[in-house]
Amino acid sequence: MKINLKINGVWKEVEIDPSDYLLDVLRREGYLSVKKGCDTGTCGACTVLRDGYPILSCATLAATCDGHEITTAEGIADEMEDYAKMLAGEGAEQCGFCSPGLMVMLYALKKEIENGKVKKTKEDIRRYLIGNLCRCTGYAGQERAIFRYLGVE
Amino acid sequence: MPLKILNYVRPSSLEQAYDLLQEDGAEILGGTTYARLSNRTIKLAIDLQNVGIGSIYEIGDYIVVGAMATLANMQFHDLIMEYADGYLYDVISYIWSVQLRNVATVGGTIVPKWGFSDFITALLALDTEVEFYKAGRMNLEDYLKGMMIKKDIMTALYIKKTPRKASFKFMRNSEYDFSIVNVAVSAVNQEGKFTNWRVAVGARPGVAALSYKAMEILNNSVDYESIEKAAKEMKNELKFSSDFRWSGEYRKEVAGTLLQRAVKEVIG
Repeated sequence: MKINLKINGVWKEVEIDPSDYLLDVLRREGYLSVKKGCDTGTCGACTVLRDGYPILSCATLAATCDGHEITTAEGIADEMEDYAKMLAGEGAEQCGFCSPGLMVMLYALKKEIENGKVKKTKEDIRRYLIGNLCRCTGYAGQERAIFRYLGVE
Repeated sequence: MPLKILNYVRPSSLEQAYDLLQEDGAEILGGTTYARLSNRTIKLAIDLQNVGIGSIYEIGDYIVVGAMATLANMQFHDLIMEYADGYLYDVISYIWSVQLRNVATVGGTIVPKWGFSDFITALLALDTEVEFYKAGRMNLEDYLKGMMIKKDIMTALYIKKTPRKASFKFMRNSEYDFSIVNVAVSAVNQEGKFTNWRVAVGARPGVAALSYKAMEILNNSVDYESIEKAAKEMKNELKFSSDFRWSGEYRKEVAGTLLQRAVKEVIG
């Protein structure tokens, strides 16, 4: 079947199988920032935005995204550069596999804080990012970097 | 073999969706979050996102939550954040991750009667009903106790705005995990006097159930002794089983403790 996805601001007609998950379709289309980690809806490495809200692309059927807007890390390149510097500045990156998913979440988190849906506290930020697992850093560096970036004491 | 979907359809009305569902091998797609973990073949997958059952609104004494609303839609809705001091907002905020809650739907969580569900336990402690397109409205408890309704469509969840105070407790191996056992307790708060208690226990690992014995004891009196007795009677009344996470005996003991903590939190 054919579906239409607005990926990073550009409408694309994509041929899919009804069983395909969004993660596999995006990677097939060349959006390689979307990582295949656990592939069971747990690790958050596959996080993308659908209509502005973060979702697990490994747990979302591509067919259900027909007509929707998808944003990957490639679509927020300017912010990604800032986030990468912020993480590197605190020594918060090692293998980097989880970073695109985390950065997409950080992008969404900033919007939720602006909208008043998430409080700018350490506890609320930790809870917002709980679905982004990292096997290298132990989270301390990531937390330190994100708290500093968001101006959280 | 992973999940295989042969055909996908997105009807534009409930009537059309219901007719399609009657076809052999047709199934409703919920949020699809757990579909990936199954290995069956669906001949016709029906996506309800265009049939108009995703809204959250008030009718009389009820908050109505459309079955296709996501858990995140529900969590952040003003009606939910205001009701019972934001009890459901808090419960939902501990369910898995933000990313999952933006996909998982209310109907997709209730209809399969997931045993591990925190959401169902939390709802069962309130005055809640579920509505199906053909079967109509029924108490959530009756739905959970009854046979699975397979060829019908859940359209909405109804939460009666009874002035309840509620508490939800869970035990997990880690915060980002499923509950190994959970307890939800609520009572009608009438100027500091607590009546009409509801006590629900879930992840036993079976689907949530009410403890009528505990509710009866608490409805008679709520003091230190009766809270202990309610926990004891709940442990005798409900069935707890073992799985790869915990033994039934351990679940039972922890559930008793959680019940006492929840009741004490409600009465303050």
